[in-house]
Amino acid sequence: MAGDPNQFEMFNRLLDEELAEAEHAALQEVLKEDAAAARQLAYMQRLDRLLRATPLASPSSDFTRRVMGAIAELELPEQIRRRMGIGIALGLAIAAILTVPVLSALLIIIARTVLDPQSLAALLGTLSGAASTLWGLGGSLADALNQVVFETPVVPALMTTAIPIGMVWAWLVWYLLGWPELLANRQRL
Amino acid sequence: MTVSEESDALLVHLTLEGDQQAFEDLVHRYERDVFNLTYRMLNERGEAEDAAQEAFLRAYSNLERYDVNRSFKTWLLSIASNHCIDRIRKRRLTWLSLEEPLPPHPALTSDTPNPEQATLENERNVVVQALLDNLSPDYRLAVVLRYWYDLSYAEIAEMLDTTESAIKSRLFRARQALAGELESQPASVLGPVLEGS
Repeated sequence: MAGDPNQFEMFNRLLDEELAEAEHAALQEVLKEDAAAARQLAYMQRLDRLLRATPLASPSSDFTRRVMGAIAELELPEQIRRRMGIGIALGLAIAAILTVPVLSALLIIIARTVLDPQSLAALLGTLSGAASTLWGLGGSLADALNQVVFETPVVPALMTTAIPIGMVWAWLVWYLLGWPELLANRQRL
Repeated sequence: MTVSEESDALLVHLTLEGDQQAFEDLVHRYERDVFNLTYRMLNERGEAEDAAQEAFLRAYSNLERYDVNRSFKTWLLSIASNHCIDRIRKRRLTWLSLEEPLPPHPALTSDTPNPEQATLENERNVVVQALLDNLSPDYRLAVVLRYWYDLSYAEIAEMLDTTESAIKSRLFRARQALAGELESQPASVLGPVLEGS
């Protein structure tokens, strides 16, 4: 019986109280002649009683409070995620609605401009004028900066001090807002 | 659907509408079931509480995916089971620091008012945990789900994404291995534990 492939089925069903009366009687007959199987079954039945008698283990008394505390910590990024999700969906919907008319209008304007020599010349003139104005502005700004830096050496010193201080402030704000903990919570999930 | 399952579905619905108290009620209702599973699987109270908390957090974060036609308890237990299996896989050998405070004796935190019964329960618990610890995680999980939650083979198979016959085979082999372990224990250890069962 110990090597019988049906043994596990019969023992399992016996332990699960699913054996019919006739099957139970037949099994008892077999066990009378197979001491090893009978011994094994006896230990399995002891084990079965032991497991059934062991109650559910309980967590500590403040378990629910701790779980709800952890959930409260999760809430902020969760709300942000949900709001961002809604924002992205709205943005995409608006973009989809606007795409066809805006693109059509743009194509019409481009086609009219390219096909009309006068408009094309005016557009090129405007573009080159804007480019030269920007170039001039950039040059003037560079000259002004050059003068300030070389005439007042305190400026570069202030800048080199302001950058690390700014970084420290940024880290402090990030830390005080609790972002490291929120990130850790998200990673845990 | 039972009254409890209907009430679970209502609490889930209220939670999704933003009612935190509803989820707190669910945690309170199932904390013992979830903790028992993580404790039987991990065999360490602190780690088991962490794992149980994690299971509830995962359930909360994925509540939108919960199918109300399924049992909430079974869904929750399957989250806890998967998490325990992950933890066991990742588990590394750790040393208990002598500076860490030891957990209180289970008899001190037991709900049982009678100290003698609490002691017996504790001894039984120690024997059961030692027996379970010898099983592979898959076998242990099948035993835990069958004995403490009275789930059918079909329900366990669905939870563990396998077949009913695989669960039957796993459970028999687990019972066989545990019975062998029980047989090898000295009678002086088992006597009082088995007497009460």
